[in-house]
Amino acid sequence: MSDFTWVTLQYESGDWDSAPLVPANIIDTIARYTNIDVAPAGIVVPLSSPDLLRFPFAFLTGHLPVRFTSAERDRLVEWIGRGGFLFVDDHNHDIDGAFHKTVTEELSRALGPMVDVPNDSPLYRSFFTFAEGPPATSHELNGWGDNLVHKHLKAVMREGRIAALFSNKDYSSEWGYHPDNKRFQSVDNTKFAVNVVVYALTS
Amino acid sequence: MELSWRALALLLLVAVIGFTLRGRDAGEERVAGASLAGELPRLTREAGGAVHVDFEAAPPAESRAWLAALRHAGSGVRWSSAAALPPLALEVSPRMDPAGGVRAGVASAPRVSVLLGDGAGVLDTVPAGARVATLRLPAFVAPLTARSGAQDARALLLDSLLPRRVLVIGSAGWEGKFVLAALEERGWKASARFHVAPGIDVTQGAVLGLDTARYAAVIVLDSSAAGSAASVAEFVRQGGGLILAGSSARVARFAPLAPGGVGARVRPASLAFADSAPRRALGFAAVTRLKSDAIPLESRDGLVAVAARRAGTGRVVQVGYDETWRWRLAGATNSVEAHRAWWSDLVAGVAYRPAVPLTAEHDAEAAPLAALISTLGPAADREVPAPSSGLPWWIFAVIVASLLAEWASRRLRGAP
Amino acid sequence: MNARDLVRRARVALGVAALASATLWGLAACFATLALGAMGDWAFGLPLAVRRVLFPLAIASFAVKALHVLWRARRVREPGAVALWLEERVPALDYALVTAAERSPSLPRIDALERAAAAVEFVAPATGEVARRLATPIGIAAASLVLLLFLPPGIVSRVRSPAAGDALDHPVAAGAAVDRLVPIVARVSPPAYSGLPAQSLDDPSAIGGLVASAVTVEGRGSAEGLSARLGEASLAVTGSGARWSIRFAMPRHPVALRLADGARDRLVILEPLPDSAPVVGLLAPAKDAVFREPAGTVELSAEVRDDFGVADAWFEYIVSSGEGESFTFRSGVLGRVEAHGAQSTALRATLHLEALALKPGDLVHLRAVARDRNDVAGPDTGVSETRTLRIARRGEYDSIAVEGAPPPDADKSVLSERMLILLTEDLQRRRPKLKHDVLVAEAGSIAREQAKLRKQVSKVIFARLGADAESEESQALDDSAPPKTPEEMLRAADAATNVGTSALDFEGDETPVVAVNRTLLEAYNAMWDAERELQIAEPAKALPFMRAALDAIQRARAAERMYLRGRPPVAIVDLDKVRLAGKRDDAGGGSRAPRLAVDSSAARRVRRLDGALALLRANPAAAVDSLLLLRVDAIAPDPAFAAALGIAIDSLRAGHDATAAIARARRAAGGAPLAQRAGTPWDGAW
Repeated sequence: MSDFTWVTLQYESGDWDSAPLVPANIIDTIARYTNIDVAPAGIVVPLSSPDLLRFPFAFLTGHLPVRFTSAERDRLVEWIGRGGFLFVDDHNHDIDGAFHKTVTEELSRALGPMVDVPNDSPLYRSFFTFAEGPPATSHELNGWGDNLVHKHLKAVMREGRIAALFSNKDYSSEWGYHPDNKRFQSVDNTKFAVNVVVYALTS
Repeated sequence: MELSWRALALLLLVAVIGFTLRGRDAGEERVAGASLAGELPRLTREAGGAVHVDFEAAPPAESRAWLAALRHAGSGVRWSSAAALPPLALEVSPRMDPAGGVRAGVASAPRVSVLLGDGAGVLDTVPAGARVATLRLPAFVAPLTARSGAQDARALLLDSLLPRRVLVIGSAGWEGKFVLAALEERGWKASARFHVAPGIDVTQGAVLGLDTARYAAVIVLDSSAAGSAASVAEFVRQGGGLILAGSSARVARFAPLAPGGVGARVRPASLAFADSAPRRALGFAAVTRLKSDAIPLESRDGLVAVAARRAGTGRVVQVGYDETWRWRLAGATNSVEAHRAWWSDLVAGVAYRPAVPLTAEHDAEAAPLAALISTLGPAADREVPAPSSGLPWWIFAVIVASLLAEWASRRLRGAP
Repeated sequence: MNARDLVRRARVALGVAALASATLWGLAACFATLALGAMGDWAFGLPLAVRRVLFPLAIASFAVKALHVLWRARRVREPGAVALWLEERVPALDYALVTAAERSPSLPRIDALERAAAAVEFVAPATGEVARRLATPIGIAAASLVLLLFLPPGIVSRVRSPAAGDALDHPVAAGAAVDRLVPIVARVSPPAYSGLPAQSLDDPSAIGGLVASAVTVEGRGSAEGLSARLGEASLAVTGSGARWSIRFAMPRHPVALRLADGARDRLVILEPLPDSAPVVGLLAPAKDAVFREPAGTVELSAEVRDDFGVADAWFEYIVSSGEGESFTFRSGVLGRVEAHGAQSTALRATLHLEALALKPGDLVHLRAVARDRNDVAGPDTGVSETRTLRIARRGEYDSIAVEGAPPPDADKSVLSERMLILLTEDLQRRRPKLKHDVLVAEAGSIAREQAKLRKQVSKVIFARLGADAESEESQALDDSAPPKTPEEMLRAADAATNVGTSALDFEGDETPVVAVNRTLLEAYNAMWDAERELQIAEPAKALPFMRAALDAIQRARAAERMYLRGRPPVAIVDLDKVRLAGKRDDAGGGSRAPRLAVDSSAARRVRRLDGALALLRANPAAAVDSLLLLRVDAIAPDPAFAAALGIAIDSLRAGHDATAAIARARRAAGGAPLAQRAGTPWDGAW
């Protein structure tokens, strides 16, 4: 049985499956750079399901408003309390958009206030070094969304550690391509995902 | 002739009376245990006699020592009890736990409850029974006391333990993350090295030389620690503790230290975590070919999941479980705390434990009955024997014979 | 006046006297009860519960004594008894009055008896007897009244109108020093929005109240030399006459109020009660729904409850339109209700779907929201569950599912135009350092990728018309193919684009191919130009054409929501193939920061508890203060332990045996001693 499995969270209120190529791409990245025992394919787990407690890492994205049911909220609180790590990405990269507003409200209500992750956080040095904080994506200024380069990621902290990481930078689009297409790139734009996974596995 | 017979009888009678009087003066005196403390000075002044003490409860150390001194000075000292004195023993020792706490052991007679207390009041009632009851206390106000009937025992903490750091070595993964988290959340100071890629590790703390001055125990989670195996083995020989988890015992250098070999991985029959036996939902690599000095600590379905042994001056525990993090994440309501406690106890079981002596402010009386018997011997018969004059029995026969002879002589003579 | 008249007059007089006596005796009993109670309060300080009973007890004693007196005087109704009563007091009557009074009226009068009865003076003796009987109750009542009048005014008020907070009215004994710390009185006035009444507490060890309640603590004596601290903050102590007082607002978190008078101090715990957010339940719609048409109404219903009153509530909706990568959002509010502080309220509204101008595929997220009246620290907002209403897409109910084009094989996958731009820009940046043959090779590689993408675009364009995807050149060059009629081309375009049956607007003589696919054709042509420039190793000249192609694709995507790459597959990564294939030159591994021990505060509480208990024998007052401070710190993190500790503190302060309470508190703090399995040779987990 593999140690690390990429989990995409399925929630009821929106398009949870808007980035179907991200799991394979990141799994490929993890295998390329590390010895982490990673499962070859990602899986989808409903947020309200008790099966979530079998996977300490999960990814959540979408475009549409996120409104957790009480079962989803309770499960999320339980899972984070036991040590789960959540990575949320705004597929709209729009701080004025409904996904950003609703998911930040839901996360704050369930888990506590969100704060900016300082750019000298261990997250940016856990494997590769990102001296200037979160790497920009090619989508932040593509004319859609809020047209801003977001300097910080946000997080819900627990005892000084990131329990839930939130991104407005649209990594879902940045990483949403088949892993075989990496060979055409001079710079692998998925390296930051390795930092996120290594941070989750070791913090 | 008749005069001589009469004189002999009289002389012997006078001798018997004299001996008897002297023996009565030297007979046992009975003293009640409750008043013993007040009587001891007088008994000491009148040394040379014999005293029989009736105890309701084992006396304090001072009285016991005094009686022993009396006996040593030539007085006869015996003791007994109307009802058998309840055996009671209490001991307390520090736990190797960053949160502190002590371990108390209580032994008493079968089917007897013992009231456990301390300097601040009552703690609990312990049905000790015929075996020793071992309890964990988070803290107590000295002295720790146990009462059974009228018998009290008192124990003190004579030393304390200073937990040193723990080193966790393994590949980056959930088991490493949550084992380290459990120990740190429990209060252990820890260093770590998680292997991520060739030549790339995530570390915590400067992993300096492994020795018992810095570290209490090392936890090896998998074979990625093979490069450090030599230093770990030396650390164990110095007295350090080692926990070999998962399949780490397969590493060649660890095999001589391990309690046994690593068998096939056993899958759990059910993935549901039950409160009473949560680890039944975990898979484990069975500990096989147990060495002769290995102690199986946990078994399941006939297979050993956890075993321990001493290796030189150190201790080694082999844990077959390799995914205890699932217990923390998916277990019962208290599984997070239970997971922490279990790993903390594992480390406590092997940790190098240098003790720091403490100054006791009270006197201990850990096993009062045992101390009494040790000092004064076992209890004597309660019936007081008739004082013996020390004269042979035939003297009475001689007296009677002399008187009979004198009377016969007179009668034969025809005198009245 | 004959004997009977005489007896009758005497009966009336005695009756009046009996009533007067009953009244006076009742008053005497009442005043005596009050006076005794007041004396008792003055001497011992009676608790409020006892003082509250005094007045009713006095009334009851009035009634009981009066009835008792009347009962004893009941025989005044009998003429014979009255006559006997007179005979006893006037022996000279010599039973003449009794005889005359008891003779039946039908019998003739005996004049001698009448004369004998009339001749005797009985008024004075009777009057004296009555006066004598009334003197005693009058005396008792008067004495009680005088006693009450001479008692200190505070005592009288405490007895007359006992109320919480009158502890300070109890006077200090003459000559005794005024204790400024005992007793104290606390008055708590909750915020106005809560509607709760103010309350007073006599000599409390803990003061509870809503956050931001106004708290006034008073004590006897002057304010001079008295200090007060609320946690770390000092409070001003003001004095008016013989009383001192401090005022503050109930803080958000439990804290100890420390009052100090010289070397003495006193601790009072403040226990704030939080104001909860409203609880909102969405009753209708009961579950999510899908609508075929964006028409009709949806009834909305919700219920709201709050502990101190709801301010307002409403329904909130968010409409999401779009799909793929492009969405727009609208939000609104309906059914707002002002609840004016009701503790519960119902919310109702009707959602008209036409008013929202919904289109197929749109989503409406609905929930109910409520705010409470907390105007001090809030207001707090409560929300309900969210319901999702969706408008079905066209064709969603068709029986035949139309799948997208099969995905391309992995090794034939096509890069996006955006990625080709990135590659070209990177090539252009590196151009000065590259040799010409390398430049040509790399540019050619990008050109080949551009060609692949161009052919994909052409497939989309011509597939819509049913034409052969590879026939782009032949379509342009071979005009001998039979032309389709406008109706046939329209049907084909509709089937391909699924944009409905409305007529397309053609400009001039352009074909439906051009009209429907104008933007894609623009992209196609731009890609041709870019490819041509790349083939001659001119990446700088290719870039504008590539950007134009990207712009056209995005416009086409926004217009018709297409994915040029088809539906992506579920990819399974060949881990063995890629394992450690990446370059890690810039990877260095990180460092991890240690975690903090959790529950360390619980362990500290256990140690503090044991430390305080160890002080009990040597210094009980200091031990109780330590326990009070510990209780303050435990209220929030461990309420069960704080409650158990409070009971133990109360027992200690009252001088009762606190052994059991202390044992329970210790168990609550650290858990009962845990029994391990006995007889194992290994100390540790087993």
